Amino acid sequence: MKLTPKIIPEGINRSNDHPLKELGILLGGLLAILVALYLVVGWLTGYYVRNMSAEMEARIGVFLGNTISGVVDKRTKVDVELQKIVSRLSSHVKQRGYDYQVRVSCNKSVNAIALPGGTILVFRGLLEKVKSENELAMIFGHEIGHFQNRDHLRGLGRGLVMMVALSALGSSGKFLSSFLNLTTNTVEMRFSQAQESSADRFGAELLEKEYGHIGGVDHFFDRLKDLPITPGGKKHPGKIRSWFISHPHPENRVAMLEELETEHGWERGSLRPMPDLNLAELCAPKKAKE
Amino acid sequence: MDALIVLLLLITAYFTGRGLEKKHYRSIIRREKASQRMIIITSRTVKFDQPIQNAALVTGSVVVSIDYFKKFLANLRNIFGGRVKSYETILDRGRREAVLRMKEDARTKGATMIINTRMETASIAKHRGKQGVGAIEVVAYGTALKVG
Repeated sequence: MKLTPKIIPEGINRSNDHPLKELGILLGGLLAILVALYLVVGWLTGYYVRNMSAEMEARIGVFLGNTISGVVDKRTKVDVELQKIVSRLSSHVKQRGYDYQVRVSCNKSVNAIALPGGTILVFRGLLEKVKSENELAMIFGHEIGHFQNRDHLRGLGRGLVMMVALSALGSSGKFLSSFLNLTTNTVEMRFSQAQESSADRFGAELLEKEYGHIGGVDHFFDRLKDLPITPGGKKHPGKIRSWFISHPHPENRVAMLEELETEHGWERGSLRPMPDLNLAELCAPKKAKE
Repeated sequence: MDALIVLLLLITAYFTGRGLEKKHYRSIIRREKASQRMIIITSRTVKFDQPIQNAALVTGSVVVSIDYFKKFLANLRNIFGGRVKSYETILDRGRREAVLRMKEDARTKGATMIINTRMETASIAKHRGKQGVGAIEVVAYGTALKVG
């Protein structure tokens, strides 16, 4: 028998499918599943959060508080001074009985956050920027508003689930994780912006109940446009970029508050000065033991 | 920023990988036609009418790298299961290139055919536990015979 060599036809040992088609199908399918998972988890988280016990919430708050740097260990004079303001404000709150506590962090961030359990953590950077007691009361009122809506817990639940899902996909490429992070963050940030606006409204209402006017409420947001937010000196981003971060653009917040002012006929009265906090002494580095 | 870098890598890898692949296939097809007369079989023994003048071990090996785009696609496929089509062309090119090099080795030795042909595939340049771009090595070997 004579051997006759032949050319083997193409396409036997490989697929003729276009790689971009396969990429589209796989990536689209995966994203659809993750978005569906995200939405379901969001709904379940919301359901659980509404029924979470105060004890569980307090335990989460202690855990988170311990992870934030710069929190002074014992209650200080500064905490006591600030607690007076918070206690007066919370006396106007009818629903959801938290025991609101204030703690100060020597971290230089210009921020205040609501920790689960009713603790308001306020950073040194913010205290140094605020010029009146009314402004500070507005900020505390804003955080109390978050507690009332349990926003702090909703954000935690969704964020935690997405972190777990993304880390499980880590072996499939950093791109996918980064891309998903951006996508879900954008959705999260829209949820957060609505929550922030609601908290702004709540804070303004508390301010009016406590002081009889809303003077000082917009000073802080006006200042946010011009001054650095982080110790690194980053300014507040422009309006388009604002869509992708947690807080609404300051101009939008001021505009919303002005609308409320007109709607309720609120006035702007005189401002009370900030109490003397002596933050430099509180946050001075401890001397080394001899 | 990370997502942007990865996206750029993917786009670059897609176009360069695809271009290099097409170029390689053109070269493979051209050389397969040119070396068509060199017979390759897997049988260990063959009966010849004419005497065997010479016999020698011949080998051909090649290392083909997996580009970033293909690896990304394979990682996606690993979630759902099924054929990893992105790797098929790598293996196909590797095998055919290895056989062509083995044929070239045989040709330089004056052989007219290769019997007892075998192929081995191994993955190399893989970074364990990290996201490294891997490569595969294909080795083809056999007994080249100069008959007649």
